[in-house]
Amino acid sequence: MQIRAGVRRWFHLAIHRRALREAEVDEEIRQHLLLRAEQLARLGYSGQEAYDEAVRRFGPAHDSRAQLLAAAHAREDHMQTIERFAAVQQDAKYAIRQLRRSPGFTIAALLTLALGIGANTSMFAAIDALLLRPPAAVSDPDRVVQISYLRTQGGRTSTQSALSFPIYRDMVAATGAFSTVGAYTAGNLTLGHGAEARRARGMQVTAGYFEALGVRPQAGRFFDSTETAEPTGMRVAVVSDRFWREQLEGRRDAIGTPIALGDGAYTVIGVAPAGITGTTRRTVDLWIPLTATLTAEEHANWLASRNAFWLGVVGRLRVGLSEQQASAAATAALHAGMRAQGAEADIERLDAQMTAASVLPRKARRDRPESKVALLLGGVSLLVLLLACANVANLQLARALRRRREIALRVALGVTQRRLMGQVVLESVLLAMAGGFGAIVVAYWGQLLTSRVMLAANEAPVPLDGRVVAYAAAAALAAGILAGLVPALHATRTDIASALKEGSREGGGRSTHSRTRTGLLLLQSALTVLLLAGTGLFVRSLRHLDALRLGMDTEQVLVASVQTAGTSYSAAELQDIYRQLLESARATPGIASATLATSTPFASAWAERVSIPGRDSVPLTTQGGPYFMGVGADYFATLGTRILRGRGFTDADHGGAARVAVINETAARLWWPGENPLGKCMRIGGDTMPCSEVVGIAENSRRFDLIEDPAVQFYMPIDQAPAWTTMRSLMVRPAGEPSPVLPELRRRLQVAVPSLPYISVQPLADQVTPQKRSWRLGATMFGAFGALALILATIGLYAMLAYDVAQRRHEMGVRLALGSGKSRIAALVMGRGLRVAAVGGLIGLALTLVGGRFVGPLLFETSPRDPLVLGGVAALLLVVSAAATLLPALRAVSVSPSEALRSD
Amino acid sequence: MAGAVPLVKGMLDTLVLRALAWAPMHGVEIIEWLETRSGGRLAADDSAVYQAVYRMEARGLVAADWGVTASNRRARYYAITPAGKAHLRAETRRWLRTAQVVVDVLGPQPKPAR
Repeated sequence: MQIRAGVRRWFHLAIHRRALREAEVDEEIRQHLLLRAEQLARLGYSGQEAYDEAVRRFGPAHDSRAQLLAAAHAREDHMQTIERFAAVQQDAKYAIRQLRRSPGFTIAALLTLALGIGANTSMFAAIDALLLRPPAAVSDPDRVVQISYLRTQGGRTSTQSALSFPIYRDMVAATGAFSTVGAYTAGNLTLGHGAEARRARGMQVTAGYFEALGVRPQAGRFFDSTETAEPTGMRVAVVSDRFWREQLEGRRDAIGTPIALGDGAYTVIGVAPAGITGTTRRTVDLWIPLTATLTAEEHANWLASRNAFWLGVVGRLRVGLSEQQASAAATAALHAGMRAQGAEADIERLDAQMTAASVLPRKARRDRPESKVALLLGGVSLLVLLLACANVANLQLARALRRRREIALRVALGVTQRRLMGQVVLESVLLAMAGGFGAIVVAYWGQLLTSRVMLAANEAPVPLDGRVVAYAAAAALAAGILAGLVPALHATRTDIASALKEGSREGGGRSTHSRTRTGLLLLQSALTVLLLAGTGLFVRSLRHLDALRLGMDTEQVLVASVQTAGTSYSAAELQDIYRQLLESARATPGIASATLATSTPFASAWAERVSIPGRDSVPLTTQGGPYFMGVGADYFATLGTRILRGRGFTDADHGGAARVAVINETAARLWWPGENPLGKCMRIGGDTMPCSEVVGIAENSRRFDLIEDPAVQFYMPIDQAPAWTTMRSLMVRPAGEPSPVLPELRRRLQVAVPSLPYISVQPLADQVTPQKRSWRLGATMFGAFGALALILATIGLYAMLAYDVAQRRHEMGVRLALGSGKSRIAALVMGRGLRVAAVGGLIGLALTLVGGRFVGPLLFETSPRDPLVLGGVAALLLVVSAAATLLPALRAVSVSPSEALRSD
Repeated sequence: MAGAVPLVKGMLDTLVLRALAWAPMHGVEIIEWLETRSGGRLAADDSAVYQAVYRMEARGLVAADWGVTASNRRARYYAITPAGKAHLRAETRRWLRTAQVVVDVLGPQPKPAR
């Protein structure tokens, strides 16, 4: 049998050591018996007698030896551990001394690792918060499900998590599936009144909400079913931990006190545990009963209608039930409810079903585009860490070259290869651990950035806690080992004799060293190109998005709305309030125009039947509709929506005037193809309604989404809009930049109507920007990582060349002395650096073309092979690389031949 | 050995440390020292002393090395370490306190005061 020499030696050594130990024990026993016999002889025993007595006193021969051997083995094992520990300690001290001796190297490596690990850690924190962490304070989160409604229309199945109140009631009845069911709807609440009014993030819930989540109050209690009863519940409130601390000063007796909320006083009954965000990541200040403020009118609209979808519903699965089983039971309950309410026809027509899906983020948020981009960026941040490791490995290799003599000396003095490798890796791990501390600082800033670009404003920020710190520590350890591995392998290959003989100039091992280092540099350039290309692709996607014509100037428009949650204004009262607000807005200095409308773009939309004389039905796009808005005379001017033909509305188009309408391009094209729509008649609401004359054609504009197919839309004067469109929205266009006007506008609106709830004023663009989040996220983070990679690669290239030049000073001197031109020497140095950068860049471009498949679906109207991006990135890399090679090249030509030749 | 006292667990270690606190010794010297000090009243095999020193060596209470005796024989010499000294002090205090309690409880009762 063939056993490899190394293995045999180890095996042999282990046995050998054991045998040695036993021999030593036997020797001690033998000597003991002799000494003991001598001593006993002095006491009067004769020769043989003395020895026998010594044996007798030693104890039962076999047992005693065995016990001693066991004790000796235990002692040796123990002492070996201690010795090893002491050796590591000694090595650590040595490593720290070495690191302090070369501060330049240490700082460069520390910074590199801190940035690499920090970037990686902040991405982990983001992914952890988005995808891994179960919702806070929720017990048995795997049993908590979000209940959604599934319907199929026109061959398309849509899932919606907004349910109507009757469907919620059907789910409460589905006791076979859920032990508890709760409904919630989020909205802003107003704290205080009039000029004092402030906004609070609120959530209206049923009693089952907290129960379904399995959350326990930290003080007081949650709602009971009488408080959330229908039609009207009680005015009680549960406050968040933060609200309790900040607004109620954390007083225990805060329970039972009233707070001014909406248009009345609510009694605080409980404090929720810290960090609770429910099934979404939205932060909440206050919870009130769903029905606390419903008026009779609203009750009819919201609680009775099967088609008003406004509630989120969560349920707690019965023990042992799968999501599929629960979904089936919930669907059965839905059908029973629909039959009982005479909506049987819809069961078939819509193929109406319910589905229960876990709220665990890894299942629930997997499909959010931010999650996908976050995962992609997680991968990218690993690449950056890899890059940092490569850089540190490279720096270590360079330093190892300088330390060849010292290392060779240590080997010559009998330091084993294992110990030597261990020392190199240990040094690297120590660096990484210190870098890890820096990384936590980097991660802190990084997390501010990721929270900003990744999460909506009302979402709980990414936390930095024990989990994240533990990850940073693990990443640091891994990075340290990784960065130390290549230098460690190289250290053991030192050829002692030649290293000791030569100066630290050049020679043995240099070629393998420089091959490895060149390889690492190639890797760096390639990764840099990959990351920069990613940045470019996302930036171009963003550009394309920004260039989209949305049919309105979202940047120039402010939307004002009254926070009506928690109040009980009637629709008529609200419309009055909005009219007063409109007057007040128009009177505010710096305002160009203002208008009311029945809905807000990107937030709400109404649909209504239309019939056109002479046509059986009106054609629609896949978007359904037709959608309409009742708007004021200044609407088109305020929003910046262009009238392409005909006219917009004027003050003459009031409620009693002739009925008129403005249609969008798509309606014009579909309804009157090849004809002039102006002057045509459309009946809004159906055949029996009077004609509305088409007076203008407006450009297409978005309803909800940045990226959506055009829909059929029309506008009518707000006073001619159907009576059921009670909702109002106030839009304002400042003459100049909107942001300076905003605070004054808000203040004036807030005091315009006495005892008004909080009025929020926000740029219309705020409704749109969240939709760009995944691209902005990609552009920002790829940009940050790309810049980091570029810096690392540049440092790496610079360090290698600078080092090379220092090593080859002698050679440069000789070349110069022999009459080599300075430009040739400079070209030699720069050429070497640029060759590496160019080859690395080409590899990176190839990687980008391959990786494009993964990025492609995340881009917008941008090909992952966009030549402009790829070309630009390649050019950038070359320019930066050239700059990095310049300094070493200058240093090379400034070598004084005589000095260089004399110095060694 | 009439009237010999059996050893309680852990006691031998302390006694050996006490011997080594005097001077570094090899095994037989330790045994001899213990016999002299106890007047031969300790009931233990000689091997038990070796087990005790091995144990304590592992714990860092004693250190050992080979040396040569006066009679020119090879023997392992044991010396007490600083950790061993600290251990000895603590153990001595504990044993004396234990012994005092035992004496107080079992010993002759003081006569009631008149």
